[in-house]
Amino acid sequence: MEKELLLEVKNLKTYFYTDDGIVKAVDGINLKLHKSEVLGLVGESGCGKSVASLSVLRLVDQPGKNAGGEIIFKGEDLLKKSEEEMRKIRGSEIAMIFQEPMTALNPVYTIGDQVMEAILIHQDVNEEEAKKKTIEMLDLVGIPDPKKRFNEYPHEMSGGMRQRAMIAMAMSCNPDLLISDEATTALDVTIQAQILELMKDLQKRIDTAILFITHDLALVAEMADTVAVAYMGKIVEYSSVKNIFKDPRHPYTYGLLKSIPSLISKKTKQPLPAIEGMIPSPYSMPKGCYFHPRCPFATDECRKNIPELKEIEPGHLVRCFHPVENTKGVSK
Amino acid sequence: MKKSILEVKNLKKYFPVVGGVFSKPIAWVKAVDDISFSIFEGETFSLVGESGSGKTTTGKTILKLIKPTAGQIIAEDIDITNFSASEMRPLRRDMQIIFQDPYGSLNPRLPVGEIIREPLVVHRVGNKKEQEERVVEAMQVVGLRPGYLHRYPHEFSGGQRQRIGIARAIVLNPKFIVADEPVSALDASIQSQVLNLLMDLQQKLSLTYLFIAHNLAVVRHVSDRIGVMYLGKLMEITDTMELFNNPLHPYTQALLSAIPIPDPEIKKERIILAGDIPSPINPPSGCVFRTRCIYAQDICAEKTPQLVDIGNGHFTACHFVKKGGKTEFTKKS
Amino acid sequence: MAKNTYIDGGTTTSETYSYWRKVFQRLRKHHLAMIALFVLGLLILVVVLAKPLSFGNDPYTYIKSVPWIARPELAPPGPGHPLGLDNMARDAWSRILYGGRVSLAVGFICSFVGASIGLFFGLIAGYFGGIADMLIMRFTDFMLSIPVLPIMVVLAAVIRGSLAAIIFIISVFSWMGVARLVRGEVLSLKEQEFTEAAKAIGESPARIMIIHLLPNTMAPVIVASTLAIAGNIIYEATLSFLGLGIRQPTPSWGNMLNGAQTFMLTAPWLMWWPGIAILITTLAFNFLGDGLRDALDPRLYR
Repeated sequence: MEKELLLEVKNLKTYFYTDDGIVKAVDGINLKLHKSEVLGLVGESGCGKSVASLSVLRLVDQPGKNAGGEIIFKGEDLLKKSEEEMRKIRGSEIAMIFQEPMTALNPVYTIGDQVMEAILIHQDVNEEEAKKKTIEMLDLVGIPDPKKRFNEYPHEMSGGMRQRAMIAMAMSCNPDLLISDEATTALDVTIQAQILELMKDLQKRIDTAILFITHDLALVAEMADTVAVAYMGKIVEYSSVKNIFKDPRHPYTYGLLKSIPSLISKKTKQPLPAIEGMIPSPYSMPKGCYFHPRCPFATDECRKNIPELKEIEPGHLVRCFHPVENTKGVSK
Repeated sequence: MKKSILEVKNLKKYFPVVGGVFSKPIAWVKAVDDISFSIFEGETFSLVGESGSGKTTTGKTILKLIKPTAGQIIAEDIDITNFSASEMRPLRRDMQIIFQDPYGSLNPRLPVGEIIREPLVVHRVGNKKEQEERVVEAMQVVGLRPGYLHRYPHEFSGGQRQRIGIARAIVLNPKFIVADEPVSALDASIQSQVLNLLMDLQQKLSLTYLFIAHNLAVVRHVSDRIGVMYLGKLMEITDTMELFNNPLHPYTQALLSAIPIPDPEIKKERIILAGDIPSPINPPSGCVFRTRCIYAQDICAEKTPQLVDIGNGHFTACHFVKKGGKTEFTKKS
Repeated sequence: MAKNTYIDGGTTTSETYSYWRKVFQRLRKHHLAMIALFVLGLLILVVVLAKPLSFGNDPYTYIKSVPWIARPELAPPGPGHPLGLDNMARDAWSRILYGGRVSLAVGFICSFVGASIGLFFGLIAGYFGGIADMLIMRFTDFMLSIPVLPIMVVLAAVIRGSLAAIIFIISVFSWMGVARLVRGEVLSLKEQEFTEAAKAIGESPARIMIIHLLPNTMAPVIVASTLAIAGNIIYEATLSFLGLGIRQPTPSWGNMLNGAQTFMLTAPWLMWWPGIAILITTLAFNFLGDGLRDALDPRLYR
């Protein structure tokens, strides 16, 4: 049964017009996110994943500009909305959590005040109800002793607690969509495990869809239902989480999965099958497929033309002229 | 018997927290608090731990970049703990470091060739021509085009910069290298290249590594032995495979179970640790891990468990891990 | 990995470029600074070529007579003497040109000496910290708390007159800003890993300071020194205006102002020329300094 479509990003382009040239940070991205689904958007630095998420909220700053596409959220194009309408959507229907909660939280207000502020702006409640709701939210995200913590400032909390407070703020208005941009990247692994557990739990309870952005493939495996792999501003592979990890067809996804050190393999202290070369400079993009200089399967066709994102089997889209055929033994 | 290239005995490093009008220390950050271990010739010994565990401080103290508060550092049977800067200088040819930050660790005003040549100049190795030949050789070994000799660090990507840092570290042909989170600032596809380079260099130049990292999958791949640190103390030391197959310390167990696995079909039973890592300014009494440990008992607050060999070079610091690896854990009521 | 496979493709440009070239490229976009640079270039050219540009006049010669007015003293501008003559019937134009040599020399030399002293103290204080830092910085505070002008006046009255004395007096009071600036920079630079890397190699403190720290503090020092040139020119003018700087008959813009003030009502133009010269020069140095600040800003560029 197909779930209701919540967000559809069609051919979204966000370009940065810098002194040194145009950077196509997001270069025609298509995404589909259904209600209460988790979509993982993975890629390395420069792949445009963070810019894409900011573009959805229309928060891209100068010199970045939207250069085309549509962002259909609940049937309406966000790019056609006024700034006033966008403000109502941000924080209430679409909420966002960032990598470094310290910069997203205002250091001169208490945690409680900031969560309460979000509730007061977007919900028709009085201050007393808002405060009650705030303490409920702080409790829900696992902040111990929420009544006392209400009056604490961000710098008095640990990184993990701050991220919990950010999540409380984001979830306080029961958003339909939560964008998590590298939300656990700055955290220690044991704290990361706590926050991931919390996000999974809340996602089930509040029934929010999550756009989960990360550079860490392992986190996607854990969190996402569907995965989009981005490289240099384009989606190169798009499928169910199972397909991405068990049957990756794009040479980049395939190479990336093979290159991560395994936690099971006995072949330690041996060369890892690394992807050769490096991420191209955004100012001098390769002709043809952006991945061809690093691709072991590249042909003349790849050097000349940019492949389209094609459905090679139901629900599995790949942007490649020569998808990888034998993907056995990739997931370890 | 394997020959130890470096021995650390009861090493402590406390940083003062100054305050008040007279900048007097009002408290101490116990970054490294009484740790002992040995590194054997030719191996990769890794220190893993979360932020505040003291792993980086340990690495830098070993190289005497930070002055130790107490304890002993013995490099090839020489006690270097109280060596002055000039006494250290000749030893630095054999002990080098690779840094985490590929941006901050290279002087932005020096061309790459000069950065790599610096160690040769300081140690007066050869004349200028010979030095330049060695620089070119080092660049080739780490996979940098020698034509880039005159370029500046900002013209390179993160992965290439890390190669420059590695070239600087190996140009003197050292025996021992501290690699302080050498790949954690790099993208996934670049990480594996640099890891391969480090492993390749170890073979070619018979290097011994102290590898400091927080990514356990990376550590598992490159290490021979691993020491797990928490709040300035060593919790467990053992061979890599033994650690991953048979972790005995409750912290190691939790740490390993927290690693996300890149396989959607493996849903593992997690030990989710409660609470935060305590501050190293006022670490818990007794066992520093007891505040988050599910097996903590009264004794854990009273007595600091010692790091003891429970057999076959498997060291653990827990009151409830006994000789032979028997555990006597009981959950807190 | 096989030997001699190189990692390519990630450099930001296809050709190599130096830091200073990039700085100049950015400076070029700063119109006011470029105008200032042009004006200063012209100014330096003019004072260097003072002799051929003086229309055969000499700043020390008393002109016996001019055709357009009875007395040559305080004669208004006329043919051969574009700015007129001063109260001793000397050619004002040539005195402005030669005076410019003095003013610019004082500006540049004092700024350079001040920056060198400041760099020395700042590097030592910042790198070693502790007692050295405490002593140097308290001394700096002490120097900053002295009311500069009265002390300069007293000093100038004691060691009177020569160019070297003036340069010494101004330099003594123009290093503190740079010292503070450099100390601050060094405090953050020595926390960076490349300083630690230098220590790990076994470099001596002196080498670390000269090879690694000094070049990385140059950008703000250059900005501060450029701005300081303007200030030093004004100090020189002030001292000379008070009759304590460069002494007659040697011309300087300051003592020309001093000489002209008596005749403010009868020959006001004599005050304008050095005044305008000082104004243009200091403005130009300030604009250039601002432009350099933007062009060198490390936050815009790594």
